[in-house]
Amino acid sequence: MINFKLKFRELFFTILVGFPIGLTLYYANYIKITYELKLTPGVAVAKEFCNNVSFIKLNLYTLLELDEIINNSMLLNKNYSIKNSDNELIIISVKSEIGQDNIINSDLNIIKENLISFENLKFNKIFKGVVLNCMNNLKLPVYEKHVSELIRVDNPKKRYNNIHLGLLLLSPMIIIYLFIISFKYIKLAQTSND
Amino acid sequence: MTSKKIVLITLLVLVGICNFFFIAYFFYQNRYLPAPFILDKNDTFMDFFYTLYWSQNDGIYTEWKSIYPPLNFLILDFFYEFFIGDLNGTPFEYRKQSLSKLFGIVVIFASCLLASIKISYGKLVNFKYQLLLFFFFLLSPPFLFALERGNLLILCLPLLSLYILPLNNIYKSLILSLLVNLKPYFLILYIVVFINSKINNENKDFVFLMPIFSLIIFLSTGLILNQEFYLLPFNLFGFSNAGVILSPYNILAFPSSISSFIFLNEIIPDFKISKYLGYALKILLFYFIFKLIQLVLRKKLTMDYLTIIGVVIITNYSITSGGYSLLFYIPILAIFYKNKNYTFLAIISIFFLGIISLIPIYYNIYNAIGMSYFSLGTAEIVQNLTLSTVIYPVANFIVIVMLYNYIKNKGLS
Repeated sequence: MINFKLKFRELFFTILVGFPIGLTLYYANYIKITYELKLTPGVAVAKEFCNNVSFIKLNLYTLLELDEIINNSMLLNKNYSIKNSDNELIIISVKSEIGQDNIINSDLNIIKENLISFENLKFNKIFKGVVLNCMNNLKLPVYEKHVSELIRVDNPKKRYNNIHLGLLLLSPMIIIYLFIISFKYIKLAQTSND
Repeated sequence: MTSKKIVLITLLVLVGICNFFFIAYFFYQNRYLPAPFILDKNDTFMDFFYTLYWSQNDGIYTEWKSIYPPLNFLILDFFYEFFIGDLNGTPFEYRKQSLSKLFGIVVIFASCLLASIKISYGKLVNFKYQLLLFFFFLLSPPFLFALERGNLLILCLPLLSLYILPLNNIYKSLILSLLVNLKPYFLILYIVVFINSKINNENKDFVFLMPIFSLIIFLSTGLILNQEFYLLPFNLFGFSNAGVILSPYNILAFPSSISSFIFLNEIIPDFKISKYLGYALKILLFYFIFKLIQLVLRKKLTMDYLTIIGVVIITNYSITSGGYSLLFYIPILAIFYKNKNYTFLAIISIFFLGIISLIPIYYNIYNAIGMSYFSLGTAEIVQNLTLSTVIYPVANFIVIVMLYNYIKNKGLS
């Protein structure tokens, strides 16, 4: 009674309905890519002051502040996330689609502007006024500012691998096939019960 | 129902109420929930909010390495869209922003319990007693602990109750495939029926249809979710190594399997024999599971008893699902009640008696200052184990041994 085979018209129906759905899903996900923006955060640096060999480097914004700056920027693409980070380098990943380079570039400039104005504000407020009274009574500013550098990584990553895309292509046909064989089985079981 | 049974069930509800008041009193005194509530007192409702968070983010199966099938995330996505609303930030921030919705979540979980009791006990006892049973189970440790975590396992209860009803095999297949797509360990219920089908022709429709329905649901929900759902089996395999993921205190706080005794040694290093004892008990447990499966192979069993065997194996086998899985005994108790198996009824009822689980048996000398969600601040948390660490796994092991003997000695077909 268990029959896994399909008749020709059932196979035709499966392909006719399942393949276009699978192809649509495949294409809709094939064009999805992830851009990466490399951000070297802006820092306030103090070095070699008062004959002591020292080096202090403080980030001008925290990750939370960075997240807030990005969220409050008027961007065309809103799918930004801070992917991984250390003190030296932060990766901002952007979900996008093939052919949206212009949007990403424009967003990148907006983020860059907002970041720099934020760090200017913070530097002037906290670090700029810090001076040391040493070296023949000269008042020397302690901190200097290194501004953020934000660049786009040239090769965007495909968001889904080939296994995922292949599964999207085939799944609708597999689902229809499973529906047909279960429907046939139930119908046959009910007939034999009658 | 006879008057003796009415007195008994009323007493059980009173025990539940006492249990609840003791927990409230303990909280009032110490600003955190007592053991066996899980050690991290800041994780209240976080099983729910972690899953909710990931239902709104990419990387469910790659970054979070989830062991939940896509159906869970679609249910939560629906929940998010129509009930919770716009949230952002981390899972903890999700919880913070959903403060006004928490009562609704508790009501939904309690409704699942009520539905389960209505379905399982609807034809056995009248509404008044169903209500008493509801309060008894509502105030029981397995339910309170699952509720405190916001564990989605509670959503499975009405489906499990439906599965136990005498429905035809097509509906049963559909219900079990939904259950498997909520919690994959329900596959054990299918495996038991599959093994028995070698000598029992009655369930052949079920054996054929259930995997097909499961696959249809898995693929359809996976396509809608559109994440790397095919990685689920690999993640499940990784999670089976629970000792790496869960801390010994969390495993032993509220266990249902004697396998968890292996971890006793990590909490009480002087009790060296516990590790070997744990392994010996695990071997013994596997022996009885193996013997039960042998019986399933040899004896034609009814669907009721195949379900009981499946649930007993799930609760005894798993250390990751912990004591929450004891909730699956709620529908099973209805079968025992119907068949007048009062010994089973009495032993399984132990799991739902709160007071036992609250009596401390071991204190860690090192206390920790930790966040307590309910007190909105920090508290000095005493790490301890309670009687539930010993009684629940042992009682559950007794259930499996008794079930083996019962099925071996009786004709149940």
